[in-house]
Amino acid sequence: MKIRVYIATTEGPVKIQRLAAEDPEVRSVICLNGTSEALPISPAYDAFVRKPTGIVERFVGHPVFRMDVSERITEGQSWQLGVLIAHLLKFEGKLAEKEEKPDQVIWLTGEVNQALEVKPVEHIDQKLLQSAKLFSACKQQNIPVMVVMAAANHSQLTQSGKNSFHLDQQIMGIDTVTQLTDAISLMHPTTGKTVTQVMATPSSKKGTSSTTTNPKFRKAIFATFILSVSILALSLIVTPNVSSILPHGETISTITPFKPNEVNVTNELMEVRLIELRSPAHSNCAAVRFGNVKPTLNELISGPDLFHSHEISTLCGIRLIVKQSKMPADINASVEVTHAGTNLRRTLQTSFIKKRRQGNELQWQINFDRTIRRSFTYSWNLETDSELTKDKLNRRILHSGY
Amino acid sequence: MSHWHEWSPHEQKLAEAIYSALDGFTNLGAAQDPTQRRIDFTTLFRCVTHPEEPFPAALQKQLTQDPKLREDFHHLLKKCSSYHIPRAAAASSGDLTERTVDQFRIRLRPSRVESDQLYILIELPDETTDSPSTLFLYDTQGGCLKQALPAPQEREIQLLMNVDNPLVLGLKDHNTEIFLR
Repeated sequence: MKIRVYIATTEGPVKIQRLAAEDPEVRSVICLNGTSEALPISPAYDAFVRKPTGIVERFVGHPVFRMDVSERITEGQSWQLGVLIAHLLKFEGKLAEKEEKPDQVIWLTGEVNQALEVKPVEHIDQKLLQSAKLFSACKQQNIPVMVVMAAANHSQLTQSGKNSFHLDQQIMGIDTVTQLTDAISLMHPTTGKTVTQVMATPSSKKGTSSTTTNPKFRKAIFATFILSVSILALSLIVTPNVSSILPHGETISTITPFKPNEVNVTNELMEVRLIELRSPAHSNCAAVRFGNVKPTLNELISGPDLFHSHEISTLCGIRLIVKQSKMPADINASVEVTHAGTNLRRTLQTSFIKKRRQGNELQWQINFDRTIRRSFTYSWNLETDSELTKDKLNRRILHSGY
Repeated sequence: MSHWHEWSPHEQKLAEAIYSALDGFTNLGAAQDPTQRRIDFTTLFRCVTHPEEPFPAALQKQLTQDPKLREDFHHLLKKCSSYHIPRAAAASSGDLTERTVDQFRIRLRPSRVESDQLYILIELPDETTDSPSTLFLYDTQGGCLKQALPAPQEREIQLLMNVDNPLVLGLKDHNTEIFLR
């Protein structure tokens, strides 16, 4: 999937045409349209890239870049959010460059500090107005657009303002960069890790998550539900957050059938449901992620031999729902990923797992939009310090492969 | 001999006034045809001291034709410049990719992204307090190029240019002198 990045300016949207690593002996530069004209913001861009003041080098591991843009960006710092996201997309091979036709468009404006907080900027209305033609053109070409700005700017947008810009695209207001990278499943910037570094990370302890260090949660685990999801590679397969830890150049593994397991997912205290989110016909998971189309919900029926095989390419996410007759203090979920045929194991960061509560029902969701070439297993671990620890619930749910 | 930048503002103004008076006296007997009139000192002075002003075409032409003017202009450049890199040693062969003198270094680094572009890197001495605003390239035939310089980043000035830019070709040429002001 390729994503085109536009930086919002008061003179109109500026397309990022190209982003390339340069000689470390020189300084980063932003040039106009492939020419040798370096824009006046180039020194500021260099400071934004290079350590220790810069942010970009921390994530992508290289200190100097050349960026080509379609129009002049003359002043201010509001280009920072768009530039950072462009670098992360480029690092993961997702940035649409030059004349590539994008699958998605992201329009961004915002200042970013060292803590990855997104600060509000000025002239949002004018920037949106100047980009109306771009939004209209994308709509005509059926290219989804995501508009991203600081949460403070977003809260100031009025509905009539949005209407006047003919803006029926998804608008996202964020306080931190990680909110956006989670939404579009980019490498988590706060790890500051390159692909190589993540791959070299030893497997984490089972059940480790930020909550286990929280004194609120006792060591005793009330119930552990292990949901294993094995996804077999038939062709290119999409998964979230794990392709960065897979070695490059791996061949597609042989399909290994799994025996369906008897499951008993309900009891008097709790009911567990598993729902797939799939992209509808003539669409894709990116459109689902950007909110332009609603996913098709496919509930997997619990019970023996009732987990079906499905076309993996349309799988956009998995939602785990736990409904309880009695509500414990809280339940936290962690997900562990194990690669078939290896001991490589990794716990996904909790920020990758979207959690939501509705009454006595808790939901966790992982979104898939990454390419993977090796089968692996997801294990969900649920932890709580509920007084119901005496209950001997211990259920294992195995989800057969595709 | 002291340099221009070591003089006080009053001394600099005084020198300008004296030169202008002498120059006016010299031009009294010059030809009446304006195209033959020698470039006056004020024009020379502004060319050297004002980085935003382009190099006058008339001056460019007369420098190649008038040895006396060349001598005066060269003298003025030396007086007004903070740094000077003389012509490269005769033993050097091939295009230069680096020009160095005690105080500073100019390097040419090819771009890894665009094969027909390169970076000019001007490294300033650690002890410098004045950042140069203009670079002059001067050859033995009176040819002169003027380039305004951006502000330095950590004592280094960077320019991006096409490889066939006259300034790049001049920097690579052994027979050019470099003045930074």
